[in-house]
Amino acid sequence: MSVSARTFAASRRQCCIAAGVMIMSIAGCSGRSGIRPTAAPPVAVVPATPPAGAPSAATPPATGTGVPRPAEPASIANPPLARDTTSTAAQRSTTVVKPAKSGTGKPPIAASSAGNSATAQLETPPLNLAALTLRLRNTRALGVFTKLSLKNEVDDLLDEFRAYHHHESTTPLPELRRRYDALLLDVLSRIRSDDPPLAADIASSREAIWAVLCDPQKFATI
Amino acid sequence: MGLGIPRNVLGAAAAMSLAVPAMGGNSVSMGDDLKATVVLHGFACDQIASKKRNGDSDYLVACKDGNRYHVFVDPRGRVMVEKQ
Repeated sequence: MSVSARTFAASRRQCCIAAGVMIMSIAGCSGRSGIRPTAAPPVAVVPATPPAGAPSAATPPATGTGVPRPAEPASIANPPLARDTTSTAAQRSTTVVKPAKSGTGKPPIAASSAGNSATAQLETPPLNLAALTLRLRNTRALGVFTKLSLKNEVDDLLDEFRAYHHHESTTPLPELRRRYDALLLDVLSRIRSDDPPLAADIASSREAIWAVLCDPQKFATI
Repeated sequence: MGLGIPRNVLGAAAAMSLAVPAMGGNSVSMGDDLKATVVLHGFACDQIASKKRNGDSDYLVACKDGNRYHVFVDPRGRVMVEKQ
C-alpha cells in the first residue's frame, strides 16, 4: 500500500465517523422534537389532532382511553377551559361538586363559592327602607310637588295594605301588586335619568319591599 | 386696601358663592315640577306655558295645549290638581 492509499483510508474512516455522529445527533434531535408535540397536545392541541393524528401514541396520555375521542373535544376538553361563566359553574356544581367536597379539586370549590355568593347577592339585596325613604326625600331628581304627590300615593297604598291585613278590604292581593308595580314604575321613570343610583337601588329592592308589604308582621313594623 | 381687587369683582364672587348652593338644592325647575304633578294626577299637559303663584304651595298653571290647572296643597297635606 502506498502512502496516498493509507491517507485516503484514514480520511475515509474519519468521514464515516463524522457521518455517524451527525446521523446520531440528528436522530436524537428529531426524537426530542417528536416527543414534545405529543406531550403538549393534552392541554390544547388534542381537539384539533384527533381527526388526523395517529391514534396510538399521542392521545392516550390525554384521556386514558382512546375510544371516546370524538366526544372529548365537545364535552370535556374545551368547554371548561374556554367558558368559565356562571352557567358552567352551575354545571360544575351539579357534576363535580362531590370530588370538591373531599378537598382535592380547588377550582370547583372556588367556582361554586363564587356562584353561590353571586346568587346570594342577586336573591337578597340589602333592604333599608329608612335609608331609601331618606334618599328619595332628599333627591334632586324630583320637585317638591312631585315628592308630595308620590308620598300621597304611597300613603294611599299603605292604607290599602293595612285594610287588607285587617280583612277590612275586598281588594285582592294581585290588584295591590298591580298598583304597587305601577307606583314603583312611576317613581323609577321620574328619577332614572337624574338619580340613577337611587333608581337602581329601588329597583333592586322591589321584591324585598313587596315581601315586607305582604307579611303582616313585617308590615306592622313600618 | 383689599389687595388691589376691585370691589365689583369681590361682590360678584360673593354673589356666586351664595347662588351656587341655592341652585344645587334642587335640579328640577318649578315648571317641570308642576307639569310632573299635573301628569301624575292623570291630567294632560304637554308643556307649561305660564304659571302664577297664588300663595304658598298654590299655583295656577297654563299648559301650551290650552289646559289650565289649579295646583295646591290642601290642609290635610295632599297635593290637589283641579282643572279650571
